[in-house]
Amino acid sequence: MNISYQWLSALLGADPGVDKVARLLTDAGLEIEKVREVGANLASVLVAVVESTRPHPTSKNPLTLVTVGLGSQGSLEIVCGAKNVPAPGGRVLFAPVGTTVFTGDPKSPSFVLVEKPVAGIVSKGMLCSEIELDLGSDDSGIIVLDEEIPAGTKLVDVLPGAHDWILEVNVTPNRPDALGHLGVARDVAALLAIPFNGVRAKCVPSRPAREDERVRVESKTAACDRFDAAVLVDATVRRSPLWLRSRLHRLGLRAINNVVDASNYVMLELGQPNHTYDLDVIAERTVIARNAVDGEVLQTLDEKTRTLSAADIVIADAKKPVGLAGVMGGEGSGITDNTKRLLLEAAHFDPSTVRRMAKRHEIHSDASHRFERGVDPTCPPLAIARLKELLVELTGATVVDADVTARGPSELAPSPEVAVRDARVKAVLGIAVSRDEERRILAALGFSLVDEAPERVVVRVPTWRPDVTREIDVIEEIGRVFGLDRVPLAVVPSSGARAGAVRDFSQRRRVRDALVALGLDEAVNYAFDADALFESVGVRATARIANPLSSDRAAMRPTLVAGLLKNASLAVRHGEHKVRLFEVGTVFSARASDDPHANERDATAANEGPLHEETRVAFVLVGPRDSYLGDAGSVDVLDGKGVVEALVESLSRSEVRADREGEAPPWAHRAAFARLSVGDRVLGYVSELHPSMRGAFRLPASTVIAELSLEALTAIRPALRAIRPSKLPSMRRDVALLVARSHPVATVAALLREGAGERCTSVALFDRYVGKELPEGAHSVAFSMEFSPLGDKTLTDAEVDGWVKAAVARVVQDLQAVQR
Amino acid sequence: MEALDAIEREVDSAFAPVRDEQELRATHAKFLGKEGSLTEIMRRMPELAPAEKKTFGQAVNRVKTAVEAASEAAEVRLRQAALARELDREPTDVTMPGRRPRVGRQHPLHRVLYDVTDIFVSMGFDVAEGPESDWETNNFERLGFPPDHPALDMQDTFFLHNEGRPGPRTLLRTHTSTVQIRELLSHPPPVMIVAPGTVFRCDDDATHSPMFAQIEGLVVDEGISLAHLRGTLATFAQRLFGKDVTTRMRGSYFPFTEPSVELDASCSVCGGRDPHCRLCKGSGWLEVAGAGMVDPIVLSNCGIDPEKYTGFAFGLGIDRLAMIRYQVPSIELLYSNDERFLRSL
Repeated sequence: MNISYQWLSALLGADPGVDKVARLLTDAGLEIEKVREVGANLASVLVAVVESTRPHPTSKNPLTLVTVGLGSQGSLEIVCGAKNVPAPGGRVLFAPVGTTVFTGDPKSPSFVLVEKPVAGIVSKGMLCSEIELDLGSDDSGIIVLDEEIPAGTKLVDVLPGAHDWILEVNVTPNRPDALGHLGVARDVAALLAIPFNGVRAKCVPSRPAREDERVRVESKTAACDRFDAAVLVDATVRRSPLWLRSRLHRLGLRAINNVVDASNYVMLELGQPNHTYDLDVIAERTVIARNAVDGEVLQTLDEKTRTLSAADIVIADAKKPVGLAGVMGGEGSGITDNTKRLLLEAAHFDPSTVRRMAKRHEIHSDASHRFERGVDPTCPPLAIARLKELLVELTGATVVDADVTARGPSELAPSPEVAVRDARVKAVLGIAVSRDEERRILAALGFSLVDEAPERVVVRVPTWRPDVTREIDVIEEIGRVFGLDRVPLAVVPSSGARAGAVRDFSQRRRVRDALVALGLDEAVNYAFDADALFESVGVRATARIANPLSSDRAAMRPTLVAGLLKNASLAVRHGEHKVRLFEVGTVFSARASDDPHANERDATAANEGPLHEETRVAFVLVGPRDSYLGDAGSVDVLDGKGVVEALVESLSRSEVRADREGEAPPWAHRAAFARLSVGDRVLGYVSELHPSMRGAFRLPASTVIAELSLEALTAIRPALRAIRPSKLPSMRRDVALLVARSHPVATVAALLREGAGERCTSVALFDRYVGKELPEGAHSVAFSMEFSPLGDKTLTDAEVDGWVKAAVARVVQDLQAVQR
Repeated sequence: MEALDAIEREVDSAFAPVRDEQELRATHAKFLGKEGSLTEIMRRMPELAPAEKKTFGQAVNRVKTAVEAASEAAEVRLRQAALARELDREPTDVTMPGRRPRVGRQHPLHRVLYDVTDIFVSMGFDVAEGPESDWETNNFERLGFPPDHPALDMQDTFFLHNEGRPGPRTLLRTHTSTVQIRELLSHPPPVMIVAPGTVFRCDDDATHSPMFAQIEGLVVDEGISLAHLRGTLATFAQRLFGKDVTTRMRGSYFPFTEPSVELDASCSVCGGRDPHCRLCKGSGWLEVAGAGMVDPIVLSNCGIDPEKYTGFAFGLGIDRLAMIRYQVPSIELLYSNDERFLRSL
């Protein structure tokens, strides 16, 4: 909402200063997002009278040389390109050299006039259009004033509020009263503690109405509880005077004609939307607020044809709808240049009904914006009175005694009475407000005192504050005018209460920290993406957004893998060969109908949502291993497994087991994937990317991915027990074995360990060799075996050799291995 | 005796050319080894007369000592030479890059999220969480959003496909305030939680991302007032931005708090003195949190007596704090996962 400081100031009868007003309003909840100074350039602009004109002697362009009189400042000849230079005697606006003028071009919005020749002739200024003075949007010609103003008069002396500040107010949905200058002025007055009398309309003379000037109004719907109408005759529809045009322009509205402009002016003043009709096109001079008939058609002012339903409320004449109630007027009943008789409407409509209509028809108008927030239901008579006053002045019309008011079928509930307890005010605000100050604040905001007792007051809420219905709402009003910044600082007495709604915050954090420590970078992808992205890794999304930003952002991610591959692909395209990315995030799937959390009540009680949500941990490795001035090769599935092993070790000191069981994910490479487990819990899968999926992401063969369950990763937390390290040395023996490759290395190691007895504390693979000289299908594997002494008994070479021999014998026997 | 003298004369010149351990051992052996010249002479001692023995013995000892001394000196010389050789090798070009383990980068959003969470945890808050998908009831109704009210427009909502299921509409939560409901339903007051999490709004432009991170705070107990809210957020702002930061509280509107406030912190960069400040744009203030006293309707919707208990709630945008801290030029970068962006921080 744009608010004119000059207008505000006029309503208040005070000039507190724009900065002060902006600060006070912001502190009280009407945030001023911006203050725009306008009209600072107008100080030097003068009213000039055209004395004579002659065509430019040499220019091929249609330029006119205009001699204008500037009163005591004599006459000047000015070059003018406009086609609408008035005949001698006409009044125009003259900007002398040095004045800032506007271009209407956002790239270079303004410049300062200098004395320079136009087509060979030097002017000492220019005759200006609305755009050039930033007084309107008309650039069809120079401004020609209708008023009889002496030549040489300063524009600022005849244009009230020429130099102004526009306050851009962020009006929250609870403050419909602040959608007019009246409501904002009331707040300012309360904040400044100055008297404020609101807006009153001057009584205008009227004459008795003839029979054909009388109108009939009726409300047949509960959604319209009040409908006021009035009639003016002998109106002249024309362009509005400059003060009105410029005021509307500065507040962001386009000037149309004096009737429509007056209507908009009243809306900006009071916050009450209203409408004017050409009485002569209203069938039977009858206006009815009613439900539309299904299939009824109305062409609205935005030139769209709307098919209506019974849920719509229309304003109709005796034959057809002429407007969508509270939303937008209809084409064909509005004001034209030939309109002579005016029908004025100011009504009150039910907020929810207007909101649903506006949503259904996808219209957001100044009227619907106000009605859906709640307009003061008692305002229509004042709006009609103000409109009459303005229209008489602007159009020369005569008011006839044809005012009518229709009431809806149901009475509007009176505004509520609310008891406000002193103790509660202090309990909520944390500071006591004196009864005197409380009464002053509430009175300034329009609350009336109904009853007063030592411990409480009872007040009636003003009709323009539909959001205030309870004690707490009144306390907020007291607080924001009293000054929220006066609330002191206090320390919460820490309750030590533990959270009840707990999920996996600390687990996510531990895993993130661990993966960062392992040298991976963290990604955060959107939770939704294109179905096609997930299909490219063979996974189908089962949960989707009904109203996505675009159809390729509708699928809730069923896997983290696709997003990470997309990120890796981007990195590779940018020339990065080495990618190490991980993500810890939620994946989504639709719940089965027999899921115990499929209904809202049970799921909420269990702190679950409507979708099945699972936190996953995923990473992608691409490109060469970390190495230095040498080729360490590219990553493969064992690099991925290594990351998981290190992660699990750092989380729980546990061993990771790998196998090829279960159902491998579609992105797994069948020769290079592993299912990873700790104990009997499956963590997930690690794999080189399936070769057929590389193309879509343009990723190399050395792309390794893993996706694991956070829950499984962090569920295992064995109680760790410290060992007392022996003071005696342990002993190492290396053994090399030739063994069939069909036997997993883990099996060989396990047999060695088993065969070596309990003093063997580790068996670690340190070399593996495959070569043509080895028997078909065999490889040579070398293990380092460690033996640790027990207590204070030193190990002897003989006993260790014996254990190694036993271990090797076991492998030779069970796997037909050969010691090398 | 003459032979002994000859040996003694030989000693120094014999050890002088020694160049390594092996030569040293050989030279030593030449005098004192099994076949050594001095050994030979000593072997003949028993043949001497007792009177000669003493003199001769003393002489042998003298020569033996000389040999040992020369040998030791040579050894020291060799060790020093070896040390000098090792130290004088071609120096390593230490301007070559170090062989370093790769350092991972935590996402800037999570760095800020955890820092913010830690501040509140240190003040006595516990961490609560709820799901990212939720029902309209928990996201709006129980929080006191009136049906068909323009307040619903403040939060453009992503609704989920309900697939014909009965019951309230499902959506992606538009704020972490859903956790207020879930926490209040989980146990009676006192409640003192922060709820960090991901939220979604149907909005995508230069300053809005359709997914972003928030942290919610909620305290409900007997005797909680707006002053406690202000004290809590002032302490938070000082720990996050610096101890000289001051706060101001001004009116605002959220359907689930009454009174509603915005809490601003004084600009930590210019303190309000620079009209062209990159951070506060000259206003002198930074919006820290939207907050307020928990609306009584929220408490009663969760079965809590609003006459007995009062509370405050607040919400902070993590993305904006991350953008301030790391001077991120546009919000979309936070979700670009461009390694060049991630590794710049």
